[in-house]
Amino acid sequence: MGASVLNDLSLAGPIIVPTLTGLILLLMDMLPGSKRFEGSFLLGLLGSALSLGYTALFLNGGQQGAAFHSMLKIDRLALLGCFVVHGAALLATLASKLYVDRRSEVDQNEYYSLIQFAAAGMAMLACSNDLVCVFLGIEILSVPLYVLAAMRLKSERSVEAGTKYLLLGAFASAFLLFGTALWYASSGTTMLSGMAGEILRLGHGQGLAALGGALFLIGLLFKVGAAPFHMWTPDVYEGSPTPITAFMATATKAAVLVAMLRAAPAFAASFGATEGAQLISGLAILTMFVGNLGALRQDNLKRMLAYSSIAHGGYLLVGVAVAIAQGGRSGSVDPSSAVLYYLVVYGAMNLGAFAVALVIDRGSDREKVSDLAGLGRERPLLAAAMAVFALALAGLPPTAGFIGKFYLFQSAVAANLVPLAVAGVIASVIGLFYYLRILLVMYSDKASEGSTAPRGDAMLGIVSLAAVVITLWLGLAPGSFLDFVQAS
Amino acid sequence: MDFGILSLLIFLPLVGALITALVPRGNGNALRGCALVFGLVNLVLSLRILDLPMDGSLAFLENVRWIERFGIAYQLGVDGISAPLIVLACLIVPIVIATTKHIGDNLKEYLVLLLLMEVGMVGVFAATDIMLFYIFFELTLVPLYFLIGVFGGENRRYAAFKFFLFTAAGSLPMLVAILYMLWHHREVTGDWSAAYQALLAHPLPAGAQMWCFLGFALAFAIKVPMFPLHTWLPDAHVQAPTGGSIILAGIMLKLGGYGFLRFAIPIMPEAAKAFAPTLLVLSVIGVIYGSYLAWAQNDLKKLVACSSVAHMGFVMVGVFAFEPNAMRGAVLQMLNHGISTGALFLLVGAIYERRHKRGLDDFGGLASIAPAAAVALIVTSMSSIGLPGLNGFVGEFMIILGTFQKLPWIAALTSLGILLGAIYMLQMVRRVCYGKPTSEEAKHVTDLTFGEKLAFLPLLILMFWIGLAPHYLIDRIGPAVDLILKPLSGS
Repeated sequence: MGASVLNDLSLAGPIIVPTLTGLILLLMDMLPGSKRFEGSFLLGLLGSALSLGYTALFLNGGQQGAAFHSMLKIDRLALLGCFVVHGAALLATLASKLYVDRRSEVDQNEYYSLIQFAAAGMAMLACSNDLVCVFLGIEILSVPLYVLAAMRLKSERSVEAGTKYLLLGAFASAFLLFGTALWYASSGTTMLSGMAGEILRLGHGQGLAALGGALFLIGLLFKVGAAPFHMWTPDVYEGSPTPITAFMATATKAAVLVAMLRAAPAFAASFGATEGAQLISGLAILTMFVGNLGALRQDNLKRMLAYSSIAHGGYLLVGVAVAIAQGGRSGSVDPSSAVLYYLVVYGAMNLGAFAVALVIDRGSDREKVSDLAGLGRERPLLAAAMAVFALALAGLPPTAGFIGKFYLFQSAVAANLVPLAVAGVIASVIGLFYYLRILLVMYSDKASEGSTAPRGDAMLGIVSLAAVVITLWLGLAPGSFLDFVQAS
Repeated sequence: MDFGILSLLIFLPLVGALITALVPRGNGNALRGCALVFGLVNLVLSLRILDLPMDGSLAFLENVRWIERFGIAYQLGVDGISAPLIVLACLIVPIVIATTKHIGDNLKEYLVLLLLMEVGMVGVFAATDIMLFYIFFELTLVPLYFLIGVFGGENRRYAAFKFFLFTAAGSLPMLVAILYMLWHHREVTGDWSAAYQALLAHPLPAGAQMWCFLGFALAFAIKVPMFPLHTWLPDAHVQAPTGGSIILAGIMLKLGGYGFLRFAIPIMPEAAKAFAPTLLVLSVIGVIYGSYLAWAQNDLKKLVACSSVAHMGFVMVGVFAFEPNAMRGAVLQMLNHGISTGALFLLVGAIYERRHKRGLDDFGGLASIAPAAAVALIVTSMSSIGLPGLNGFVGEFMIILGTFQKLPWIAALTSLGILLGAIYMLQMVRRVCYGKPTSEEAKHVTDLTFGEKLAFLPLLILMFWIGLAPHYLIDRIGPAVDLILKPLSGS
């Protein structure tokens, strides 16, 4: 028994390491005079690095399997999800240094510990194989994010963002919980892995299962920011501290999408594979268009990236639609590897873009698209990096953004969801407009008179460099990583 | 796998772009010299690929596995259709670099973009893997977008957006069609492959061909551009800097015609046949409407841009007549159009830089004020009209001759374009080169400099060479065209 608990604990490492780090960070408050302690940043960094290393170790042929009576399932799907989450946490922590140092109202210990807790919740969500665990994961990731969003107590927008996120998030949790209850009622199990079979075997509760599935789905869609449950996204993303926005946009998506993929057979059983795929296809198309059309009108860079993040949620839903259409069987293209690949790529390019946004910020909340003007002359390397991110987000070759979209749309075509691929392509065309505007402003416009040159720090440099390397490497030589993802 | 000549042609400009980016910003001559050296070396190297086998098959093959999961390979090869286009691209880029003027402090970016354009343009003609083709197709888009959007005229943003939107909106349906093709290939054979030969060997079912052809046709028809999708072209040309216009007219428009010939028609022959009448009619409309538009223009650049619509209409008639001579003529005419329209934009740019005006009625009497410029303009216009002895005549004649044997009415209507072409070109020449200068400033136009003459010279030589001895090129184009027409004559 003791050995089995130890084994379970070791398997749950990607969840436990950030939790412990977060706790230690909170305890540091007890140290005298530690409010502006440098060590909290380093400790947060260390925690994320350890979690990332731990996950990578598992991925590279280490331990895998079920833990805690199969409530957690530590397989490649989960581990790749955790990998994105911890990678995003690491980069977001790095990117936070300058931002937090420049703003004295932010409590550093709390800030870095909350990132750790949120990462723990996301990791748990990615690993969960049980409805209860899904709910726990969602709550553990959400509560720290509510607080982080409102971390800048003197900024009205930040507090508004936190409050809005909290109120709407709580509402979504209620949906999720009710869905969980109905699913349990119609299948008699809370295990995601066996649920599809039970729903089909019992058969009598089809309507109930469909209702449960729908409510559960709404809860998850809210967290990804998919239309029509996206209303909170632009405000919250704009108001939150920029590094947190980047972290939320990438890591939360990764965790929730892994959960969606895990629940795909249950969705297929509840709605019917064809109907379910149609439903998700419709939502994916709506999300892509809402995101891309919304982004067109934005002058605020963060808000534009928020809408862009909605749109990318839509692209990712394409993979979920394919997974549901296949109903858990394996088809000619594996949708979950397409989604995982895109999650990694999206994580890199999006975090990179936010890192550049943090440099533009100049410590005084300059976050308009027009603040990018003159970057091509003043900071050519940074501008080149931003150009790579914008082209990748737009999905142009030879960046990884293109290969990622190619993979997702390819899987849609292979699952006979051609209209979905067509819609995705049209939405991408719309997306080109605002991503290219970033490029034009950087290279064509002159910086306004008297504005100080944007300055970042070494940490932001590291984040941008890492993101550029990943974005280009996965675009030019995607082969080995594709194989790596596919093996899951 | 050794590093072949085609890879060299693709990546040498990339190296050039990187090195140019390292040259200090202030030193304009060093920047230009550096870029020019790379352009010229690439031009010399490119001449080697004209040494083609005479059976029309693809030569200088290279094949490196790349993304095996989707069957995408780095596959290159050229035949008599693509090789001359690559050489033309390699010729035009150094000409543009050599004549670059009045760019301001962003000269470095401008030169880097030009070299990047060359990477994309050579790559797109050399790629025989359809995904690689698509990737290079998109790659050409971004540098040109910047050339127009950053270095263009007053309304450059709008023009750049319009250019990018049209082209990207066209190429993405093509991507969906490609996705479908790859998937179909896998369904039939069990393997992913995007190779040209593999797709040729496993044609799509008739219904799917129609849809996929539509996706391809949209992308290429916008690029050509075909009526009624041509509206981006005048805006892009007028706003683009001279170099951008030359590259756009000289090379980029050929991408559309080339795409039809290389991919759309051979891979989807049934659909190509089904759509040919529609495309022919649109091309004829393009010829007449484009000429008519050109006739009405008072702006030199716009006139040349509209004449491009008409000339490319000619090319498309030649392509879709599905007749050996017409198709040979179409390929030759693509080269001719690249040469003469490129030269026209070069001259219009040179004249514009002297006066900052380009209305037809802003000039007059150029023949006596700047004789070299006037002679160059007149010869180029004659080449564009299709005067026997110059290059334009050979191409147009072959197209009309070939088309007439199969579709006499289409040929008759198309030849109206020659007449209209003579009208608008000659009236342009008359108003600009002859008569009296329209204003005091028009009397003081300096003639072409030695450098400009030198840059114009290779184009002039080509006009006469193709006009007088077209066999060298036609012998190379012919067999490649016959291979394309083979699947069409099957049923």
